[in-house]
Amino acid sequence: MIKNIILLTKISTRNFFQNFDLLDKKTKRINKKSMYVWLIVIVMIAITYLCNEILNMLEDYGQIDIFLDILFTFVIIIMFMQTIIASMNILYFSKDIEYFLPFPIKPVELLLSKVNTILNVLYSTELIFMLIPLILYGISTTASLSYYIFAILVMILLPIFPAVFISIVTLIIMTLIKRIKNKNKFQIMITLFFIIAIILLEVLFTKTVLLNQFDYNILEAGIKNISESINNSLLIVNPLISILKHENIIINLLEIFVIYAIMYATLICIGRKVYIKNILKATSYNKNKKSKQVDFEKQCKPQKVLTSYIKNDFKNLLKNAIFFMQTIYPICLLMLMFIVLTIYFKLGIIEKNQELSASLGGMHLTIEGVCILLGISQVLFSIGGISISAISRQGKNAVFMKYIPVSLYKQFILKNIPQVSINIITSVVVLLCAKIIFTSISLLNIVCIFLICIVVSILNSYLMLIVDIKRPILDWNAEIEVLKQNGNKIFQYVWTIIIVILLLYITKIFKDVNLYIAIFGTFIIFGILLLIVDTYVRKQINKNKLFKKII
Amino acid sequence: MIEIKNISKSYTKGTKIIDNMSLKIENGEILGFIGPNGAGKTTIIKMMTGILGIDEGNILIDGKSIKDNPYEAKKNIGLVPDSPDMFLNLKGIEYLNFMADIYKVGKDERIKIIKELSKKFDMEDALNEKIESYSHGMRQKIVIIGVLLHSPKNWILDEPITGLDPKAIYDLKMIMKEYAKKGNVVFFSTHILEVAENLCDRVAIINKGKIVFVGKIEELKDKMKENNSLEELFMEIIEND
Repeated sequence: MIKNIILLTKISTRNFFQNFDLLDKKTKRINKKSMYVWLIVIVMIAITYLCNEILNMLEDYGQIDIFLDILFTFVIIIMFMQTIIASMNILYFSKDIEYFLPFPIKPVELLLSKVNTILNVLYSTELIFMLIPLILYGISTTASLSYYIFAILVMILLPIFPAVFISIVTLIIMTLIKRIKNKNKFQIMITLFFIIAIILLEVLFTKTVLLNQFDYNILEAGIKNISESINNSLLIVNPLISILKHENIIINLLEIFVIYAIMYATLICIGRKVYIKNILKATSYNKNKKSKQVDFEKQCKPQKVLTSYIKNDFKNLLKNAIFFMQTIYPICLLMLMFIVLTIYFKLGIIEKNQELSASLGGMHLTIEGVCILLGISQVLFSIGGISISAISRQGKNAVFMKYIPVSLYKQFILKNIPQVSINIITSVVVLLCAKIIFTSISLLNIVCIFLICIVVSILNSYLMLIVDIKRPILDWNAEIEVLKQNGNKIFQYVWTIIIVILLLYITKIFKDVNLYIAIFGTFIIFGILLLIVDTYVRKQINKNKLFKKII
Repeated sequence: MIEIKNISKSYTKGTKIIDNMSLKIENGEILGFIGPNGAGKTTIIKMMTGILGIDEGNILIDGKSIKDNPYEAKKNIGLVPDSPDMFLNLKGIEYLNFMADIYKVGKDERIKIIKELSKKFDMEDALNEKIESYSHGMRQKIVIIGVLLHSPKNWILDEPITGLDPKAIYDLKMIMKEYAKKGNVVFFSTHILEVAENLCDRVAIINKGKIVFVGKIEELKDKMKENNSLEELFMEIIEND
């Protein structure tokens, strides 16, 4: 049984990670040509910097111990989010399940191998987000060797909780549901349910911190409150932190092992009875459906080529659960959080604090402020990844672009529309939130910044689309490969860093210049960049070079 | 009419996948493109339809160069690609409408053709279902219907028979014959020699990037001076090449 589980885990994990070329196949050393290696390096550098800053700040307040609470809270939330998004796909809708079903494999073997796959995904996340912070914490507190040994043990144990917990919940949900009418809608609904539950918990827990954030004396209490509330509810987190702090190691370890034993026993018990039944429910969803007759008059209305093309792109984004959850979902959630936090900040803090209200109301917009708003917008543009996967999402279908009688340049422009539309909504939300908090910003200023946002957004979308056209991932088995394992994302991160640096430079150039001239200058700079990129696209298309990889 | 004029293609320097190939397909003709795996059939089809660039030579679709005037040339092409896994998230009817919009087919025309072809291919009840729920054969059928919506003058099919049931194969062959009769070009690649033998006015046999035979089946038989089956003749040509 264990042999089978290991074998299946290897195949599933390899399927999931097949696009990562972290190791050179010949030399078995780190592959310096792999984009993922560089992506990990960049993220790790950023984490090192951020952790260092937080550790220094906490050290100044003499509260360095809170670091572990913050770190565990942050990592466990990321892990839960990741498990929620990936679990349904890995457990029920990945293509390899259909290949495994005819084999004489016990349901439990298949289930455990799938949970192991989720675990492996979480371990990779943990290596990126937790390894360096734990080492830095160890250095800051001059910890002994035993701390590092326990840190490894804690890192092995932590992801088991979200992986097994979410798997049990999805098993129960799938069992309770009689039939799946539409697998995409179903995945979106389940994920929405999970995420709303988590956000509600988060909002509930962060309330204390938000109220107290301007009082540094009670900072510790605030953060402790949020971390303790989250960590207490997650059973194993506090014992794991205690192990790292060398508090009751044996008792805490025993507690964790008992919890895990119960969780695994529950998983196996339920999985043995229902997992295969649930898979069959998931794979035969369409056969339960009665199809309606076509109403030709209603359903065959002609549309303009461009409208039809754009609608089709949107349908591809919205009707596919994984694409939707990986591209539009995060942006929507962020927007929602932005709006909620702004309203909360405005009504709960500013309105109640006259001094703060007067100080924010009296602030004048400067070019630094403009650049900060542009920077925030750019960071938000980089989250969804609609343009950077616009071609890859089509898979082998992308070749369609090449043989239809619509010019490639026109198609290039159309492919940018979904990303730019979402970016425009994002910019509007960011600027409105800014206007609500900083009431002194005039509407004219907001409109001017919005115009620059549009140019920056188009520029960003153009560049990311070029990357996807030049380096498309067309041969994929599961949709999740297109976004989760897309090495091209590094270009998005690098571009965001470049924009931030450029914005910093702009603040220096226009430091002592009239605000409107500075805004106009910024607009011209990004406008020229956009023109250069557009000319490049036209030339590349004319030389038949841009779409060369799509065959 | 499709004119392939001295085209060459190589993916890596020095290795020609297609080597100075020429072929002309007249209006009203069904031409079967036969060759072993890796012979270059799909490469040719991709060059004919603008998916792949042409290194040397040119391809004219009704006199319009796919290299220099791709937009006009593509208007006259209908391609059934080798993989029918297209737009899986769309319903059959949504896909057909999308295709009709792209090729600017009017409302009445599209309704007429969709009704006619979906009935012929037994697809009427499946049109309101998502393509991802279709079997391979049904996907192939919906792609064929989509391609025929704009009545292309040049119908190009890459391995169209694969995955179709016997009735659908029969229906497709009939449609191909009818289509050619109307003065259109039907160009298709296949591995199934019997289909080529029954259906084609001419066959072109390709091996290692070169056309080794073009002509009628009877001419092929005469050339080999034996009364063999097409399968045996094909093997003989490929092995002699």
